[in-house]
Amino acid sequence: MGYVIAGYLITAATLGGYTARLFARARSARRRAEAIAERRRER
Amino acid sequence: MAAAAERALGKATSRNGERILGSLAAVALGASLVLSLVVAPPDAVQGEVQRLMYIHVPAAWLAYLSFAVVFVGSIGYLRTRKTRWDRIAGASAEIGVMFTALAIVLGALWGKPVWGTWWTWDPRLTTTAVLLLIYLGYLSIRRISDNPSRRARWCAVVGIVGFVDVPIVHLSVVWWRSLHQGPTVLRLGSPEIEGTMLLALLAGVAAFTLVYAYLMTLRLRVGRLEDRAAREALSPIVEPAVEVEV
Repeated sequence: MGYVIAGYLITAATLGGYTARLFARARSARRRAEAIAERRRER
Repeated sequence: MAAAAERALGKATSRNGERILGSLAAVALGASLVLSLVVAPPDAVQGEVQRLMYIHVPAAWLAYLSFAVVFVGSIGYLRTRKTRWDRIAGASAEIGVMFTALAIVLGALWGKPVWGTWWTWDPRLTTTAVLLLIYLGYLSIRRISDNPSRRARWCAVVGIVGFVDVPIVHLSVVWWRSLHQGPTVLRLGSPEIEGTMLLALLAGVAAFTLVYAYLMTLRLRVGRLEDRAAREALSPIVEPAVEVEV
């Protein structure tokens, strides 16, 4: 049963981790674009 | 037809569509978990460890689906030269690599108690490892070229040629003598699997497909945002006009 538990935990961690990483990338890209646009407006 | 597909894609990739897909995927994963760990009986020969099938097989099938989408996206890009196709192919390749790696790890976990080894150079395992390397190479190409249209062209070629390995992986257990079991569902004749087990397996495939659709919408949004950030960074700064008095 240990192998089964390990398999389901690894699957949950992989899917959850990848989803969290995508959210972080989206947030960072949005912030980067907004910061550049803001700097341009200030000039 | 293409316009209808574009409208459907547009709806699915809207923030609302993304949230609905996310909720559906979470519910389907929960139902699949109950079916595979509680409802489905243990295997008569392998016992409880066979329950790994309900996540290992969907992960492998989703890897096939992801790379089929890369294939279609690559052809779409070469025919139309529209960035959207390249973005779809790139997003699907990234998700496909994750599912392939997951299928390999879950296979190793299943192989240890059943075969007595984590890994063996069996045709199915070897061709799957080659598949992973092909698409890791694809993702590397997406990073090395700084010319977006050249990068998209190279990636499209690799996305089309690399897909050749998918049917080889699937048929490897038929073509060569293999330690890996042969097809039990996608085979000529009726599936060789008990009814409740088949239901749990199909529920797993449906749940993983919804997860894939959700991850695609999320990954496409990330691609759009990263492109926007890159465009903002590269666009020339327009200095305010200075009036010169003569």
